[in-house]
Amino acid sequence: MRIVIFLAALLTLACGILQQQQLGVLRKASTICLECIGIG
Amino acid sequence: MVKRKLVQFLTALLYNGNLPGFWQGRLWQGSSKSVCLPGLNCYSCPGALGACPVGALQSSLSGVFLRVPFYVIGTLLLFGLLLGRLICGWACPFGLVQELLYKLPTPKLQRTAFTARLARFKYLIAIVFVLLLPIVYYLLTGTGVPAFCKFLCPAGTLEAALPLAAVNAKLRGSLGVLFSWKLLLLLVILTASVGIYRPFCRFLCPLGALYGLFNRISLFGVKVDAAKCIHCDACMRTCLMDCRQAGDRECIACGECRSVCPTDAISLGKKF
Repeated sequence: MRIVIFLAALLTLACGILQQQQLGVLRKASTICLECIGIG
Repeated sequence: MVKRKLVQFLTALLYNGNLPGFWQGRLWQGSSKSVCLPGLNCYSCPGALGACPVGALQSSLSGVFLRVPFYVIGTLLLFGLLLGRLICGWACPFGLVQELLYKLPTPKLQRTAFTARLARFKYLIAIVFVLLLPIVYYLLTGTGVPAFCKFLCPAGTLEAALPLAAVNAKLRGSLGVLFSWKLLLLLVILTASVGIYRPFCRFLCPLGALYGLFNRISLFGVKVDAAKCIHCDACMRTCLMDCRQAGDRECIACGECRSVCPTDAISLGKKF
């Protein structure tokens, strides 16, 4: 079970990195999130 | 447990190491922000060096029908599998804030069957505010909404809204009803933390709910040696969370139970 989840996690993460999804996270995290601070 | 407090302080500092950001009112924009941190730490905090996994998940879910958010899901799976809710007990700045408030010498509300039932509420929060609302809102309007961050997250108010508003007059002028609601919620949670042990973590936190699902299989955490256990229940009498047994899905691996176990059946660390 643990190994299956571990492999699934690695595979999922690799898919995300291949699709450059980390750049989307970077974009979102680098600008002020208006919703988070209660404006949006 | 001094060692855990030290780790909590260091983690909070590590998460929010961009200290000049606090007086400049600017966010860190380095590449480390593409990495999700394990604990609940608002990415709009001026000091934040990484991304909040809950915020990143919600913003990714807005476009879930166009692209599955593999990156955030994979990261959360890895954190959960490695550490489970040990992250809550050792590496969550908002958990630390609540614990420090609980140290104030006032009467304390003990855990009961009611608090145990209330602990299930965080799963509802996770499903509705983190998963369903961002997706449904996107389907209805074509734009995303991080519903948990927007309506509930007290970490965003404490770590982002207050420090940013303190140094940015323009931002301060834009704060309205939503901010007032979030500030009220933050104050309620912080006040409750004086008399109730980690109320946000126990009853509301969606990240804790998710990590709790991994507690049984996580590589690190609390382990009970069944051969040594005499079922005296001393561990549960000491537990401040809503655990039914050491290491279950409510356990944040604080280790308090380990010190009262008469047979040393409880250990903290690598489980397998």
